[in-house]
Amino acid sequence: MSITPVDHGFGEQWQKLSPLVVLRAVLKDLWQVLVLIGGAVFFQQSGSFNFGIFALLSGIAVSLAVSIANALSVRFRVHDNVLEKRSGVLSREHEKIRLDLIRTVKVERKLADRVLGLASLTVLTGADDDDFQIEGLKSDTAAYIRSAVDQARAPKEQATAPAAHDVAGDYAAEMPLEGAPGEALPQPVSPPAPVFQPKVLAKFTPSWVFKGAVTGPGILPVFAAIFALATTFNVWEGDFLDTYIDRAVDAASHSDSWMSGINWQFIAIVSVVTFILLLLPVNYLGNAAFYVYKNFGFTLRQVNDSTLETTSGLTTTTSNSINTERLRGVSMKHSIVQRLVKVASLDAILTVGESAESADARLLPAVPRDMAVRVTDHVLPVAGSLDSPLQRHGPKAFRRMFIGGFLIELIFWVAVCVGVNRFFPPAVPYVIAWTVLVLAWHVVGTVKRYQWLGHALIDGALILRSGWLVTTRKVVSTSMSNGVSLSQGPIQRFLGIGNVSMHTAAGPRELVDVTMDRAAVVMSHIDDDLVAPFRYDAPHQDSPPR
Amino acid sequence: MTFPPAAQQHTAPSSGLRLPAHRVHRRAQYKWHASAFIGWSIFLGLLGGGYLASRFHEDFLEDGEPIIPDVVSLSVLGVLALFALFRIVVVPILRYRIHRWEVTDQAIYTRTGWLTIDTLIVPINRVQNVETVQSAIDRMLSLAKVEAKTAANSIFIGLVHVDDARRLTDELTSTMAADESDATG
Repeated sequence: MSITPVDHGFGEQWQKLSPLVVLRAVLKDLWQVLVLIGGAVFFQQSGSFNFGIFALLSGIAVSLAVSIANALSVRFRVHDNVLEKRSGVLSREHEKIRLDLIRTVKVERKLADRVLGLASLTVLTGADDDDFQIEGLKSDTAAYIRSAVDQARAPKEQATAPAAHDVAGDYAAEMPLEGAPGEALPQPVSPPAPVFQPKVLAKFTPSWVFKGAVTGPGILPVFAAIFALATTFNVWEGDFLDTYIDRAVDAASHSDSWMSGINWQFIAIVSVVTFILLLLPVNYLGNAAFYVYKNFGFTLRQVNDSTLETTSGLTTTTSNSINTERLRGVSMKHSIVQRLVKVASLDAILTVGESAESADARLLPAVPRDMAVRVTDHVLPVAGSLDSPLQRHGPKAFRRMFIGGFLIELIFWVAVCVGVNRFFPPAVPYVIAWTVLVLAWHVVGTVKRYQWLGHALIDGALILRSGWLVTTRKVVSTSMSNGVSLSQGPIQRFLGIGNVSMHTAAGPRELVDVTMDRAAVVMSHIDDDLVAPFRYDAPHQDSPPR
Repeated sequence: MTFPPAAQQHTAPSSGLRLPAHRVHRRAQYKWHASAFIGWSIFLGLLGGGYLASRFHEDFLEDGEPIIPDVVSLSVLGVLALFALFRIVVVPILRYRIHRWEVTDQAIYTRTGWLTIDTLIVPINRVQNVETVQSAIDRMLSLAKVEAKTAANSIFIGLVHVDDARRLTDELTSTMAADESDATG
């Protein structure tokens, strides 16, 4: 593969970081600085010398000095499609990375960075190597390097069109350019007319907060509070009323005071219910605050034909660019509560390195579902895929789920009950009660999971839906399949069903418990040319003996 | 060396797929017997040794009697021994009967497993590298394990004679070299 060198304006000169990185290093290790100051004050006030404390303070001072020296030692340059970084004082490190191989660029600006006008740049190639990171870059330089990466990996017809500063136009407006000694600002070579106008696909609005703050896990604290309250009143022992309310009622009714006329039971119950109801809005407000903290100013933009970019955060702003050539599909998630208010989040299914970069694969936070559908239609070539009607997996799938989930659980818990009866009989009623609870939950779970299991085959994509408490709907492109597989466990063989997986560079996507007839259809849909030679009715092609 | 012809039967009812053409080498079954025997012998030997040692060590005795009753210890050992026997004798036979492979110009087609059976078809142009592995037992039996790797997964093609492994690796490597895509998929 030949790479056309692109001059990004840095030349071959190594660039230093801004002197503000010293301040950044101090702020980053603020606790060390505070300990040092505290130690100095201690020595001055006490007038005595303690060698242990002195040694500790010396260690902290050396650590801080090394941290500052390391920050000052960083040099970087962008030239001939290569991003280079040199760093280190005691041990030197020299890293190079080809711009066109960079898959993800992440620019993070914590609160201190924003105050100082700095940013951290992280680039990932999808390989399992360490992150390539430059901390303390000036914001506009970070934006510039990002645009250089965008330019290098844009399709060839685009490669010459947008000059780096054109693409980063929004950044330039947001982060005014200011020169700093030793960090020369890159100058565009010859800005040609831009071809691709960055397009905003989704932008944070306050209305997102109202629905986005409704989360599934968010109601857990409410249940936890109910549980804690019930435990406090000893509900589990069955003497809730006896212990607390009835005693109060008795005391009140035997006295001649005005209290005898009050219905204490009613007040106690109303108080408990009110407390629980109050928890819901408090929990909701907490979620809303966290949502704003994480997603304030969220923007999803299409920067060029091959780059999507997300920006978000209230105090720490994180912008992350995703190479769409890595995109193999999307995954829409919503919890049982989010389903009620039609809210969903959207993640990109990306090729290799997904596990390492999964946090960077978020396309949309919890937003109105319609928006998730619109964005999916935009980023994937298959329109309407998230709304496609799904096909059920049939009664055999239900039977498999029931056998796999319920019966095995039943056998296990019956064995536990027998064991407990043998060694610790007093606990048997509790174990039986727990077993009934678990099994009832399994029955409900199996029925609900079956109801939410479905798939659809549409032109160029496979759609999978699974999960009950949290439902995931995945749209995976079949055009870049790395193979197909069929897997059958013993119960599945007995029932005549199996799991079909489509392997992609983003990992396998599994369609569980489909009938064999359907499995054949699905495999053909994924890659008919691949599967056809191995069909029973295909003319057998004798391969030479090996 | 001769191989059985492609069997005219399904991998699973109605899946529509025939079986891959080749079985693994006959000696593969002996290798699986041997490696299961070695692994389980060591495991059971350690457990049995531990049991015997506990009979004579005062830390494990209470009034001269073992803390864990003999009936429990021996039952667990017995169940494990039966399971080991199953893994050593029966599972390699099942694996040999089930495991099949086939490599064509377009794809690698394999069938593996004994309890859960996996059938996998991978296009050749997605293969990124081919690996041949020989353990000590493999070397004694002149066998080699051939694996192909894609960006997504590792495909165990088969345990074949070492000469066949070399030929297979050469063929796959030349096919990969002829393909100009980046094979990521």
